[in-house]
Amino acid sequence: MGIISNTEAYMVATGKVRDYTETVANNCETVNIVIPKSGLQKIYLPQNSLLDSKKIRAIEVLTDSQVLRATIPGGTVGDVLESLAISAFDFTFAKDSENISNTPFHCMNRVLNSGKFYFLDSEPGDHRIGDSFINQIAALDAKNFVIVLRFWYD
Amino acid sequence: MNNIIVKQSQTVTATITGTPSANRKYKFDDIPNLSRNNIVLYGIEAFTASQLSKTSDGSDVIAAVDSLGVTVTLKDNQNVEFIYQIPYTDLVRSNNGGFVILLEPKLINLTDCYIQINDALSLADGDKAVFNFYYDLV
Repeated sequence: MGIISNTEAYMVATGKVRDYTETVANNCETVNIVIPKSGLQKIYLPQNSLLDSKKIRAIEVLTDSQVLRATIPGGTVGDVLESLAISAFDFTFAKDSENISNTPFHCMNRVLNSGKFYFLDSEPGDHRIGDSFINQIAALDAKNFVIVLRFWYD
Repeated sequence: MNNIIVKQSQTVTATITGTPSANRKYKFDDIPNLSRNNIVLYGIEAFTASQLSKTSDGSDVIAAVDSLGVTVTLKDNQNVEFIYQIPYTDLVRSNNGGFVILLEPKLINLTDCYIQINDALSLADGDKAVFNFYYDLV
């Protein structure tokens, strides 16, 4: 990685930046959530002890511009959230009642950000997937669409 | 180029009140847990309605076309304007190849930071400029 200043060295040393060419992570897990109703709502993620015990490197949200359908609990498939609706949602990564980061879905979609990941580098124990949640902040009808979150972890 | 790693982030806003006109300034809204000179800011990102259609309180986010008339100034805890009138659109991540604007980490004074309108375009009373602050707590 090219270090060009003390500031950049400090940012690297304190874990605030990483080179965009670096490997993202060695594993990934996908969490699919069916939007239960239309309009404003808050949707908690299901508990996930696997991810709670791993270092989460990055989170992505996928839309229908990447994959049209996703599996849902029960073994069937559903339509993936439309790219046009992405501005109506944000995601809060949390543990207990402390919100670690609050981020619009748009930031976590690589297609809309020239392929760049949304890095968190959250250590095991610093986060809890079941405490994290999605907010629908605009009153459009996205009922029964599937939100696909992909967690990259080591 | 480097990607940001998010330590902590929170959405912050500046609300346009009254009739928007050129040279008017609007300070950032108070967020009690961020506005005690207690955060070291190292990255900032702005949103238009294209990225985030509403704020968490249901207010309108400024439209992409209106953001061309807005600049942003950030002040540190010494009241120095260390980022002075950077165009709002320059802070939108998707306008920068997906990179978040990185800053030398600084203690900031949230409620002294402000947006300034250089051209009101179709901005309206109640519209909000919305940012994500990437920070460490002191």
